[in-house]
Amino acid sequence: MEHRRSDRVWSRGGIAAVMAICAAVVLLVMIGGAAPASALPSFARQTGQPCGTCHTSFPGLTPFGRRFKLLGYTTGGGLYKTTPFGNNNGPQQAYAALRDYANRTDGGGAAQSATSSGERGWVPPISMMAIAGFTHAQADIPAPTDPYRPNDNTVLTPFSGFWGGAVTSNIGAFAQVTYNAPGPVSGLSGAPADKFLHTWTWDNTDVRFASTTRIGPLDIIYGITANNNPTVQDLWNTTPAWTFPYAVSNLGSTPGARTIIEGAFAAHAVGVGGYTMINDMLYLEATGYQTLRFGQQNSLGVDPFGAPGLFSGVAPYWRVALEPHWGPHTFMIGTYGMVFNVNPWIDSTFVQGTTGVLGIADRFTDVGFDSQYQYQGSNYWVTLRANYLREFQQLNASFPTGASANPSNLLNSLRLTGEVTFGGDNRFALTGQYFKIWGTPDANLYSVGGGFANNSPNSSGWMAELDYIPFGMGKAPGWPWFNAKIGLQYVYYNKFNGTTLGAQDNNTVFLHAWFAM
Amino acid sequence: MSIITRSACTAALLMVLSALTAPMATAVAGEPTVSVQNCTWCHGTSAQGYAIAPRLAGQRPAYLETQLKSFHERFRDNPLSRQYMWSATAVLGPQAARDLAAYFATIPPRPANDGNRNLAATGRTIYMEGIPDANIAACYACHGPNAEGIRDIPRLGGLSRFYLKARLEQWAQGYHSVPGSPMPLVARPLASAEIEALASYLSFIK
Repeated sequence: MEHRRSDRVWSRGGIAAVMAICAAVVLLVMIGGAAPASALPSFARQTGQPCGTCHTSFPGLTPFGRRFKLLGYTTGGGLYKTTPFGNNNGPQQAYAALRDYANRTDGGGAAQSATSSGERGWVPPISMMAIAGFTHAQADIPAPTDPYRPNDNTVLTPFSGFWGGAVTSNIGAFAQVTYNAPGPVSGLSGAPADKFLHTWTWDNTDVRFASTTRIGPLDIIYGITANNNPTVQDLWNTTPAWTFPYAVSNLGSTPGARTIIEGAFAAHAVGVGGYTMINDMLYLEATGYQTLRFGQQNSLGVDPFGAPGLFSGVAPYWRVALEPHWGPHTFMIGTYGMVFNVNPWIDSTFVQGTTGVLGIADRFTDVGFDSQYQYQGSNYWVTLRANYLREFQQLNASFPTGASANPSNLLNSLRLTGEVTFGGDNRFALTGQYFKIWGTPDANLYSVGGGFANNSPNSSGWMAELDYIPFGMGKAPGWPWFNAKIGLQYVYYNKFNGTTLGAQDNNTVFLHAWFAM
Repeated sequence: MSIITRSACTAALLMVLSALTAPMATAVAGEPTVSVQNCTWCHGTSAQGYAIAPRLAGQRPAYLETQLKSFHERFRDNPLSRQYMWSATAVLGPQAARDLAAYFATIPPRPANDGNRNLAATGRTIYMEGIPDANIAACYACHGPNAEGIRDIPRLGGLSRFYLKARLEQWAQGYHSVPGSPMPLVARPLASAEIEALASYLSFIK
């Protein structure tokens, strides 16, 4: 879920969003009665499990949350019928198949009628989410700030709708549509490219097919993923799409430099790939991505100029992760990466009125190494995560055009995160993170005009967040139709965009309330 | 081929695969169904156990059935049962529980092999002979010489050290399993070192 793109003051749009939320709540209550929430309530309805089965601090995953995703969001077990149609129409057919199998194996017994009890009908796995947040920055936002105040703003950031759950017994989807609004600067800039800004956009989407088989001594889970954001399909919260911080205020300053795989082409590209998990331990995946054409991106509510350009050919993504587990311990060590050949836009300001790209391409090779240790205590979880990304930039297009001062650069990104959750259904969460971005100085890429100092992309700092779920263990009113989380986040910068001078002016407090229904 | 055409083809491929593979798998192996996946989601792809979730493969069907009933009726009440199994069995009827139990009993079990080998000999002695001085009965009298179980007495051999240890500790902590179980009386006198040794020994049994 992309929380970083859209923010909105409580204006007409905000009021409309709140009204939509209320309407959705009323609609959902009309569809079905209340029962025992998950981070995504539709997943809770499907599985019958509370949030804490799959999530530590939402959307951070437990081992069982990772397996739910691995199995294509198709696992059921809740009060409601899992799929509207498919190979098995529900427990009745499934149990009949089991009886046939057991009878064949044991050689006896007439089948009796299945007696699954209390199952309710299928409900579309639709959920909605809204985050309302208060942002205080150490220094005021530089003018002009309209439609925001210089500081201490309360914003709705963002509002999303989801399809989250099974489509058939082997196909499931996580698909997100998000309400966006231009930020204060782009909203006032008046640049011709502003015409491509949108309010509604497609957001993180991951459609999966998954199945299991056995080959000799090997237990195999295999599947296909079709998604729109490299790493959105990944199982671990070390990789960029689902890494901490999960919610960010767009009124808080964030470092200007990041590697390409850290979201530069999120929703601008689509990819299809295959994956497998061998013996519940070794995960392998290969996926190829291609950017959508300019008009297609625009049709889907994405500003094409928000990405560096268009891919030249297919961009390959790979992932290998080994996750041994013993009792309450799981450990993962892995690597992933992607090669992007990007034709930059001829004019991303659209002043020349062209949506074309240059005939030559920059080549970005991103290689990541990540690791995670997770411990499940009696009433708590401890999770340690590490992620290091190294990006090799061959700027064959940007250097000749003067967009960069060097023909090649390096950019590194490091995140070290610790998380403790405790209480019923993980209702309290404490998360801390050290982050560092560093790379080759470049006078053009990291210019003063671009908000950098010393021609340097370097930033570093700390983040801390305290989260509280007021309704633990399925005690939310209307569970599993509604849930809420309150978070207090603080970001501290040692260095920001190349300098320690004034870096702390960017420190931010973000108090937010997250609602899901 | 345009992106939209390719996307449509991918969606069609997913649908075709979905339509083809599950019926084929059911016909060939006789096993994969939605409800089995609801169990193997946590208990491992071939039900050999995963993380804290115990192995179901090869377990005595009568034991699995009574435990599923106990979860469903919210009688088995240790913390992990409350967290996971109460919800997982909320709509599970008696016949469905019997069918699932019969299915998992047919899967050949694999030992967890995750105990402390240095404690295995001590654990074997406790298992085979009990601790007469402490009035602790030999486990093998009920669970069998190879810890294979019988009827609704569970197979213990090859279960994970974590699970065995937690279950043995829970008998003295007042949690319930099934009505009339002798285990609270039998296991309450076990000291933690003895539990550790038993769990280690049992984890290696094939």
